[in-house]
Amino acid sequence: MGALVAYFVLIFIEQEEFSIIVDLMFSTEAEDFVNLHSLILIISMMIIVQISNEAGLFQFIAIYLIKLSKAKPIKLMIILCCVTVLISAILNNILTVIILIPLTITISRILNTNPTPYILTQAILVNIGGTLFSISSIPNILITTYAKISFLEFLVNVGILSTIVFLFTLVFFILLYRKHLTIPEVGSNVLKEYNVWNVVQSKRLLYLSMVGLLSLFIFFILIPSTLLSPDIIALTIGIILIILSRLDPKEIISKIDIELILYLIGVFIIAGALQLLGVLNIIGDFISNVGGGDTYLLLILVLWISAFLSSSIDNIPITKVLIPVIADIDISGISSDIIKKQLYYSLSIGANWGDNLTPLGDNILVVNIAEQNKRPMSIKQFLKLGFITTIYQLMIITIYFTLVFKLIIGLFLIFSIILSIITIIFIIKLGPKKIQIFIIKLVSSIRNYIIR
Amino acid sequence: MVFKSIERIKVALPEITDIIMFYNNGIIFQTTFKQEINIPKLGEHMAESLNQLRKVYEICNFESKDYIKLIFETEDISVIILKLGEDSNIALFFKNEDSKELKIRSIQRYLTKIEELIDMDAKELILQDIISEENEIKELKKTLDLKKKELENIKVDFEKNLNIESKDDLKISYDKACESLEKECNHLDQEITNRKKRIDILKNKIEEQP
Repeated sequence: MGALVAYFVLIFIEQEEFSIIVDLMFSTEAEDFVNLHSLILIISMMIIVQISNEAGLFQFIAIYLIKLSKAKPIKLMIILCCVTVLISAILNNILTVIILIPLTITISRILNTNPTPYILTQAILVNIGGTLFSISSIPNILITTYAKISFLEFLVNVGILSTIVFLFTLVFFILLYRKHLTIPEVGSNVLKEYNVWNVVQSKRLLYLSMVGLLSLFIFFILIPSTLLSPDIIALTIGIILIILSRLDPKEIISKIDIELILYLIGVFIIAGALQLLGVLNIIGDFISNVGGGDTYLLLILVLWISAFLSSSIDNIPITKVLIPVIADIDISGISSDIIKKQLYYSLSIGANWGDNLTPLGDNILVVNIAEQNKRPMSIKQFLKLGFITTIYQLMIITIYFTLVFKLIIGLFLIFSIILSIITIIFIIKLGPKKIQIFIIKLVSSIRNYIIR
Repeated sequence: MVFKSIERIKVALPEITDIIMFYNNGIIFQTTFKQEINIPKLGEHMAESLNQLRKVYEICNFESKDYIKLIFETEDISVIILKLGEDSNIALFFKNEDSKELKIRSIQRYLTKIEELIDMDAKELILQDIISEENEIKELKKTLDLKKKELENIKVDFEKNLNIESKDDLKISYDKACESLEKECNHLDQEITNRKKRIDILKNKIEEQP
């Protein structure tokens, strides 16, 4: 609908030629056909993921690792969280929860335990997985294709940062749920009998998809995008996998999400029209003025604005609109390219993580899947945990940016946080009894508020 | 544990050729089928067949409670799918020799055992919550008793020392200590009441379960 409105405005009010619509859909030669490259990369990834999914690769990895936990509750929590981040780094968020949530509920049935803490943490962590690689989510694909950010560059600048934030989040979840994680002894023995190969269609296909995915990552790292663009690498591997897998190509292609592709094309038209009409320039100028040429302020602005926008609107259009806005931001100096890239990284983090600030999108899907599997949960639980966790994660990134760009303030912030934690621990251990009780009660009531 | 039950079922009913234990979402827990066949698809289709029949019931406006069994009989091989737990099922494949009827009753206890092992239902989950709340209440009551005793001891001590010279100072510290202990007792009382309310809510939830 939005794309149609854009068409009427451009053709009848702005008196543009029809070819402008085609240019907006796939970009022009001058723009290096970024939209077309993005579409090819997304479709190719869908093919590779579909074949790996048919092979049972993701379920196999998940169950194999879950069995390693030996039904120890904290270990299981850690493994489930790691598996979620790992799988969502390859699959999109929706497919990740479709695969992992029923599996987690089944495992909880075997282990005689409540799946709610595991499901909640998994649903929230899929977003962090989305910032691990440049191909982990559609916003990343759009950003990296437009800004010509290589796979390795993204991994070093965003992937590692995401891993660090993931570790902080994991510690937060363990502290939050440690009293609620219990598994009866008998469950561990039953879990041992769960045959991990039951999720695998054929060993040959499993190994083939493993090799396919591994070679994809290796080629992304080794081959420079100037020599061979990532979309062509992915497409080549996708087609080789279709041929070697002996699966019915029609069936694989029929599972490509055409709806998403059409949606993307619509978003491209709307974002392009907004740029042509100068709306994005105005937003870009506004952000530049608010930031006042201060890189640090601009980074924080992009991070929080994109996070809050993508919490209420889908993160794909938000990203597509904000990409040219960032390109329009006036940054002078020798390091302007580096700063622009930092802004794109900030956009990627904000757009991917902001999703959890409201219980919309894939979180609704999680609630539905849980209900279908007879483990209903309330949306309120998501709202509380999702909001608090996302603010916590964005705060960590804000502190990181402060450390990089305002070293003294950053160090002061970290020092204050560490000092506060030490003081609280000291009071709990050695302080006056009244304050001890007060702090313990406060902590426990906060914890109960979040998890109930 | 589950393996043993499968073996016992096979001993009790030798005409059974293969067994599949699967969940309603298509995930197979265990099967005697060899890995050469497409096991994930097998689970997917088994779950789908049950789902299709549930839809048939819905269309016909039959008030369907949970199914008990599904029988698919052919000349050589027949399949019986039995409901195990809340979300799990077992499919028994057997040869139709001498047109013998499969005596499910003889393996019922193994089926119950498997159900206990692989599928905890929602009621059990709520019961676990109730037990943990009851344990918390016990702990809270213990603490409350200790606090009450402490309060009594302070009162006794105070009455003993009523005759000493600095009794005004003593009165102030006595009042403070009593006030703080009473506050703690009230808080504990409140916490116990809250937890009892939560237990009531959980018990209502159990009654709501099918």
